[in-house]
Amino acid sequence: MMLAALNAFARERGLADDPLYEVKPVDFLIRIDVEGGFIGLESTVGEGGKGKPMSIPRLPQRSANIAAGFFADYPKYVLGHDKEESTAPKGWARPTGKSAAKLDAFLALVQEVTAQADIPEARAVEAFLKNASSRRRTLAAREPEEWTGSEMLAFVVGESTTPVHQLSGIRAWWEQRAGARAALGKTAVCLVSGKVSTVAGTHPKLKNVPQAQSSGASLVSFNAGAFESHGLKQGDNAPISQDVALGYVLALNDLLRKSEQRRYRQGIQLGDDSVLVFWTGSSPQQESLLLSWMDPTDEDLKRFLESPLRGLEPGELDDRAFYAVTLAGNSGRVAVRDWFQSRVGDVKHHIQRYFEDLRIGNAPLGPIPVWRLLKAVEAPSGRGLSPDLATRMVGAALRGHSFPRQLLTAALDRLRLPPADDRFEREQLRLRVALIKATLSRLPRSGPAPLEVTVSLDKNNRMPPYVLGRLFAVLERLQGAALGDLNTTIRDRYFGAASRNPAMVFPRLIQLSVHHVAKLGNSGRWLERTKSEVVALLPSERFPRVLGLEDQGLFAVGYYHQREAFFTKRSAPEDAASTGASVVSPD
Amino acid sequence: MKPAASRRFCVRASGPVACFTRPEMKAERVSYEVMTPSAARGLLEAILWKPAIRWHVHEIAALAPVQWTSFRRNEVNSRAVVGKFDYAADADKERAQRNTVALRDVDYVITASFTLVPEKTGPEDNLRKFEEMFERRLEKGQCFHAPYLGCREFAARVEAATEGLRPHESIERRPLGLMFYDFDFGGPGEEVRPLFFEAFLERGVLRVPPWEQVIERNGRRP
Repeated sequence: MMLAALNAFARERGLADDPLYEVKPVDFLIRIDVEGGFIGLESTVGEGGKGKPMSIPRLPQRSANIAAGFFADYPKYVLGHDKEESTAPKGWARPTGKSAAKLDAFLALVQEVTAQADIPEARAVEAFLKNASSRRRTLAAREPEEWTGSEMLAFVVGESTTPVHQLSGIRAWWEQRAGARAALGKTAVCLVSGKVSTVAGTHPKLKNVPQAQSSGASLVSFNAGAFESHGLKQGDNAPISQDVALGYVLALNDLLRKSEQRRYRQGIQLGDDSVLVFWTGSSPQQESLLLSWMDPTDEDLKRFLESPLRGLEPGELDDRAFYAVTLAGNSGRVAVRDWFQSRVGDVKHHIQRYFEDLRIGNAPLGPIPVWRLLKAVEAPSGRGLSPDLATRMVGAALRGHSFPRQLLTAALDRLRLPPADDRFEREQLRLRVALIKATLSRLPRSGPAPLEVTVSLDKNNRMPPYVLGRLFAVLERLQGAALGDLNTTIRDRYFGAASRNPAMVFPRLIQLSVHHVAKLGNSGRWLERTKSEVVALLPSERFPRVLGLEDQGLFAVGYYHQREAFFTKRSAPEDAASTGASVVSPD
Repeated sequence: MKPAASRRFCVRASGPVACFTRPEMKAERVSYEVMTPSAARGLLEAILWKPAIRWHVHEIAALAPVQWTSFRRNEVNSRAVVGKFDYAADADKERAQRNTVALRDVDYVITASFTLVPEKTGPEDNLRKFEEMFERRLEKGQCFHAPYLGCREFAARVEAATEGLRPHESIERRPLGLMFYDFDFGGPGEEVRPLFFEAFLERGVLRVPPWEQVIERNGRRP
């Protein structure tokens, strides 16, 4: 289904219209006369420093092998010039070793044309390639150190403006050759399209997948004995036609391509080793909106401040299909980590719910990049989260499922540690508690009392863990007000213990707070009042002995809510009366 | 003339994990959404198989929703070699860590029957004998090897299906794309080839076309 969907996407967006040609920037045109003599080297490099994009015959797969392009290629093939092999200016005069073999391969293709068809331009190129002095003159047209080896070169003959590879005769020959080659291959029913066609022996490669080889890696490959069944070799194990193989790879490569703002045009990096790419049967505009929600760049975040829910309202294309696949590189191979198929409308709905679940305190509703969330719950050493946690979390968010439990443990563990950097502490705390809140409110709703977690302070919530969390925030505040800036506050020392075993810690903390109130005198009276308000919400018997994982989460949420309520009051004292806590300013 | 078929058996197979590997994603496995006919055949053959019978799967009903899980395991790159004991124990280059995207908590009811293979049937063999044999073995929980859900390591719990089991989905017709049907082993000396069929989940039931129809669809051997 996945390959079929990708293939349909490639066809719909016109990515596989021309299977024999591809658009690549061509940096230089070598102008030659009909006898193959060198006339000039014409640069097409524009303002951006890039050559003019041009349709050229698709370059073959290369790794260590020698495979020449057709009438357009890099200097190694066209001129037999390799920067590494030729250090001295004398060296590049005569190609040696591998460069020579590459030049021969390029020439062999051209000779194939001249042997079968009567095209004067092809003969001119052949003559040029056979003539060492023409090639030397071409190289001499630029300073030796200017040649980087990655210039795309193509030919023009005489006064013509059409490059040789785009001449109709050459094109026809190239297509005929491809057809003849395909006919030689084995045919079978393609397991994607269902049509009888030539089976791809090996598949083209995906580029820009994390942790995969930079030269590319295959999604469908059978490179070891363990993958082959019943004596079938390579692509015969899963008969996929050459067209489909090219189509899905072009689609994925288009989605994975690097863009100006993003590392992946339409993908989200998840963890170190995987990337989620998605596509829809809807419009590219909608896709880019969805992307800016799922993985906002800094610019997107600024835009969302102005119009928070832009693009998530129900629209007319909501019943179109939505596909997402998480790919992970494994050196020469690409593995599928997760695969998901839905409708655009459902995904929009789930994304909206995801951010509503994450919303806490008085922060505005809006997207938060996944990496930032996970960074906030990561141990300071940068280790400790399992590599697929991001995949599972985003998968759950898009599907509207509950979050992996590991998020809750990670966030709670991180809360117990003293803050690493004071500057981002408030933001980090918000993200951690937001994750806890989202995880809690997404827990499978079973049993009599569903866990309702509010966005901001809920003074009527009488659940003991929540109230204890609030109480802890009040006690911390009392200490802060009485003793000023401290190296170690009760949060640094007791937060973990207080959230796990309240009965052990709270009696001691409350005793301590009596001294803090005494030291504060009159100015501490409003805090003391808040404290007794909070304590009044607790059941009359003693503090709970142990809190479970979910209760610890609720404790953290209560703590955060109360703490934020203090911050809000300080910044906006006029609200204090309406929240009903106290009219006395803390200062 | 078509050989006489046995009565149709309904077998319920469930398990915590299952992976019905797609051929195009079998290096790092990704499962089909629903059990494939060949996996169902393998499961039935674990309970009863004789050279004289050939199983035909007619329907696979999915009782549980499709749920996914993924994990990584240490696997090996080469196949087991006869006579080479513990062939991958210490060879680093033989080992590799690979990902699997599998199904979770699956529950199926397989409807199948078998026919006799004329050239392998002895004078004392008849349909009734094998039918009773299968019922007896299913009842007692006997098997030749542990029945499994796509991969040997994902053992299946197998029992006779009771009345009143309903598929989970009620969508009229949901396309699943082309699905692996089974291998066409061909005659001696012929190459093995995989066969595919257009799979649909109709109200939660995968209807499996008969062998002849699939052969027709995939083209006869040249």
